[in-house]
Amino acid sequence: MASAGSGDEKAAAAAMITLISSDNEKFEVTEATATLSQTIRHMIEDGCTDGGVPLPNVTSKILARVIEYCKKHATAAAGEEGSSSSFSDAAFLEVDRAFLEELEEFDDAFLEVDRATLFDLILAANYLDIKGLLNLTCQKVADSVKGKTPEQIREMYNIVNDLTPEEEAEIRRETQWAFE
Amino acid sequence: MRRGKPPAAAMHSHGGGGSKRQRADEDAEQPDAVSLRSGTEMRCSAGKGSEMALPLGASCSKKRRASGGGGVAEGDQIAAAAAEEEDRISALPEDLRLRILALLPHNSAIRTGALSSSWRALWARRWPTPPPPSLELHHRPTDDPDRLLESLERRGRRHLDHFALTLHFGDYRSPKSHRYLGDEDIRRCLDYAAACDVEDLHIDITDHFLRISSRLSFLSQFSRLVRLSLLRVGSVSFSYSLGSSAFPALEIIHLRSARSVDLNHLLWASPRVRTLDLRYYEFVDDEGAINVSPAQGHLRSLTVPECNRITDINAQRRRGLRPPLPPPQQCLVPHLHHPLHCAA
Repeated sequence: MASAGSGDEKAAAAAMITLISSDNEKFEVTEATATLSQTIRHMIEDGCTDGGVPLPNVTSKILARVIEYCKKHATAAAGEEGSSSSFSDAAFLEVDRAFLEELEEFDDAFLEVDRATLFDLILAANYLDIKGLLNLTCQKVADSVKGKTPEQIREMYNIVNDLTPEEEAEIRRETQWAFE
Repeated sequence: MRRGKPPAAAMHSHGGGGSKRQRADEDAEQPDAVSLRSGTEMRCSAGKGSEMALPLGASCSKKRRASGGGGVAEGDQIAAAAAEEEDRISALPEDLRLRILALLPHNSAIRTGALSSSWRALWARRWPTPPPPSLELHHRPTDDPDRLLESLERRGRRHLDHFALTLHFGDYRSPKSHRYLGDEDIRRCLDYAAACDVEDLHIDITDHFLRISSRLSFLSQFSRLVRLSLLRVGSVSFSYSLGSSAFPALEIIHLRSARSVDLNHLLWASPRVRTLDLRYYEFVDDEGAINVSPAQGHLRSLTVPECNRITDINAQRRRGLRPPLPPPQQCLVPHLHHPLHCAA
């Protein structure tokens, strides 16, 4: 898993950034990949990325997944920039659409993780300030809650109900229509 | 289980499921909790806890024991691990939970209020607090007054803290497909503001054509109006049918460059007026006097600068009037029938 990012990137002249996970694993990524994270983008702008960027809140396992996401989406962003210059080219647009579909498929597959990983990804996306990943992961949780009763949600997420029966009855009474 | 911990701590707060296990986890894992966290979670739930480092292995074996010994099938183990899995969603920092709630349809979001105490009423904050209900309307001759009225209709009669209507001067010459705004439209705006229980009402007619011709009439009761400012208005009248409590809460009145306001009636219908501020006020009686004596005892401040036509203020103490009016702050009038002032 270490030194991911040396592969398919256009390594020519691309500045590399080293990210260091909480368990001290080092990941080398291009600046384009790393700057999907606003947190890292600001660090780069402030010129404090020499010697690597320590990320004490992110484990290597989660960081590897986050980088996987960023690489895919950084390529997508680069693709978008390229497509705008040759806007009239129908064949290119076709390729573009295919790529967007591929990206969607990637996102769907990316979310096929167990629940603990999903929450770790949310926390990492929040900490690293990666809007797309945060939206993606939060949407996944929202979708799992949507249309469920409180009992079902409690069971799904192991939420301990600390409300007294009276309190719960009161809450349900106040917002009765939402429970019908 | 309450988890009101800040974001950084949220990553620590893993030992959730049962209180006993939580304590064990915390004891065992304190030194290096964050860094190994998610790896632990993963492998535990996959049932491979034995190969983990010691503290983590300890918590995993506990889990397995709870699930009925080492001999269970892997599927059961996963189920058991899930059953003991901690409450990650409630452990999320509040802003992230709000973010998730914002992605839910209304009724699903509300239902989360019954999950536990830490979810109670959280849904109500999932969108940023709206600013205090306030409406500022700007109208020009080029605008269609029907659009203005439609926009009020669409908003409905929800409460309003502040309502401001400014009528600007503009292009009257080029042909319009719509009519011009008239007194009836202004009256409907006033009625609307009254129906929304407005607390701060501000009317400004900068359009001098409209100012000369317009006649504002207050026909509705403004039961919660506290502050009324009328700027550059033409003639203003108040319906007698409203009686003496048309403005039961009104405390502050600003009249600037008002051509003709039935001040007598306004003060009579506003029993709680404290402050009366008249600037460039033109409407006086034959003797160049204004009469503030209908104000019922709460009046504390009277300001009348730049009112060249006012030569006299009649503030005679009326029967039943409580402490008399203090000397006006910026009174430039030669005659003042004011008990206190006269005595001083």
